[in-house]
Amino acid sequence: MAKLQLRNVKKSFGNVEIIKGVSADIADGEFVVIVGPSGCGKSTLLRMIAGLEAITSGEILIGDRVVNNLEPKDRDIAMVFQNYALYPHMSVRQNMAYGLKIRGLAKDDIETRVQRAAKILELGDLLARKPRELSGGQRQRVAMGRAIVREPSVFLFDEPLSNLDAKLRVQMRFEIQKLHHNLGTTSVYVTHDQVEAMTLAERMVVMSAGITEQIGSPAEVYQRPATRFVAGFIGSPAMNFLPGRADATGLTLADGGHLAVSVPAALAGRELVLGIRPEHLEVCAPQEALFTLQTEMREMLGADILIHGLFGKELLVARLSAAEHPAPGQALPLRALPDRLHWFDAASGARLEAA
Amino acid sequence: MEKRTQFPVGWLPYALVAPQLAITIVFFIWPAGQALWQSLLVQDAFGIHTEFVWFENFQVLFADPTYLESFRVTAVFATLVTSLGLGSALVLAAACDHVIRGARTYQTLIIWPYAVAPAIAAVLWTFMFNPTVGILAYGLEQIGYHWNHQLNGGQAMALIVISGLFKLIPYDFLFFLAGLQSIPKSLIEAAAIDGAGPVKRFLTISFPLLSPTSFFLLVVNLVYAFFDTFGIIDAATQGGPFRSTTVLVYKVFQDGFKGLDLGGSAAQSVVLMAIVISLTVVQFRYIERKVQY
Repeated sequence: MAKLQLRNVKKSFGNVEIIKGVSADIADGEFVVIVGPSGCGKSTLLRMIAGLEAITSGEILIGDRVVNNLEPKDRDIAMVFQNYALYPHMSVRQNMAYGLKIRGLAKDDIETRVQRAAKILELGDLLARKPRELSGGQRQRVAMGRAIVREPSVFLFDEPLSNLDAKLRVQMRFEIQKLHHNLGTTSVYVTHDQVEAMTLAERMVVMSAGITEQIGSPAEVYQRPATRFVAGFIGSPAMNFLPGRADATGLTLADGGHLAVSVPAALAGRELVLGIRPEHLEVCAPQEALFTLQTEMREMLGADILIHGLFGKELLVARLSAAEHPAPGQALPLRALPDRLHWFDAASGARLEAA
Repeated sequence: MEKRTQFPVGWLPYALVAPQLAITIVFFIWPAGQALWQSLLVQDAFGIHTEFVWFENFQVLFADPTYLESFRVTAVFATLVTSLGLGSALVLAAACDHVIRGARTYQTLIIWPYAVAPAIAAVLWTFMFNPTVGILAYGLEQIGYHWNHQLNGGQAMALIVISGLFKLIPYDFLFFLAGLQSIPKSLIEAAAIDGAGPVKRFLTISFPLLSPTSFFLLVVNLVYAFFDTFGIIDAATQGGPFRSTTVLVYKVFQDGFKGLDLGGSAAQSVVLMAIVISLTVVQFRYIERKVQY
């Protein structure tokens, strides 16, 4: 086990800079999820940690060693691939033993480790089977078994659940969590799925276009998104954004609409973006309302209902209790608690603190 | 319950398979039957008198030391062509799989020789190895090696092996390269993380995954060496010197069309037919089922 440090890591393919300087400190035994939309460089970053991609500049440290120029096999890592990458001509047992055999471990030692991993992952009955005789979930477990037996300092997961169906994904999420709880190995997990990121992460790294937008615990990222990008990316449905200019009376939108909101004194007179999560909006009396939503469409989710509607020209969403069901076209007065409002700088997208 | 759709049987199905049947009968069954019948006959050189002799042609054939020698020559030739062909094609394909810059040019250059007709390939090499004017023979002479495939049987064998390989390597290369490129990259990466170096990765991952391709090529190459090299041998050595390059298929031609021993030649064709059939059976029965993962 070891800590993992990234120091201003950069990667370019030709003239195109894919990763524009990422720094992160991952503590020993921590489970960190790198999350971001496709093409943000998260998989490339993981492959750089694994040693499958060269590092253009910066440093990667595993434990106290700089591993920039080490071969993947010398980095003491194990990786679980998106398509599992099981060796199709080998049985489950051989798949798990392959890396150990190459390292020259004794036969009994290999067998003990394989048996232990098989027991943890409930693969005992499948050891003699070939990968093609396994279901998706079982293959996924074998891929994890292959990583576990190596007893590496760091586990790397490259979107390991994206080939599974929704139900299995939930189940495997639990198993990965349980596994990490039992083994306590430092883990880096890449995904584009924010639910996976929120549920699995002890800390998450939100990336976009080659930079880190925010590093923090899931709760921090949700409650205090550092940038407008993070605010829009994490949370479902996405946060509502209202761009406008702040003045003493509130926020004046570009289309002339006015929001009677108490803008913190420090932010007066600036171009701002107000962010409100759909789930933080609630129905209120018209005189208390922050704004009135012209209901356009409803989506019933069971316990909750999503109301899509217009405020001026802005399309907004509110997540209300299913008891509320305004008819389309009906005006719905809505409010949000002041401490649930997020302020971002219109130009830079950075979070602005009210205080 | 019969699950397949059944149609009332009429004349249509027969009409639909008739062209295929006609082609098979005219171009395969008939000549094969002729050969079988022919192999039981003895005919004089002018075709005036024919006698039915049962299996005498075969008895004579297997008592004939030149025929047994031809078997040995064929075995040597086929082994050399197949092993060298598969081996060098595999090495070239593995190398090509690693090349990043100019890979297309490299591939195209390797595939080119396949477009050359066998007889032309043989003439090309014969000319280059010509003891009097050939550039390669000259080169060998310069380093003190005397080359004359018109006199030396071993050198004649080397010449037809090289001419045969010239066409075979591009073919094998193409299949091996396609096979290597269809192996998912993540498998190789997983093996790299598991600690395997490039050679180990090739031996334990790539090569086993290529086994269906390899076995397919093995059979195809053997068939090629046995039967498709007539043009090369006829153009390069005409079976000589002193029968050192007379492979089975060339001997059929020599005995039948030059020696005018039609019965004996037909008996040799029947033996060859038996070899092809058994190779095909091996491929279908054994290899297609066993070699998979």
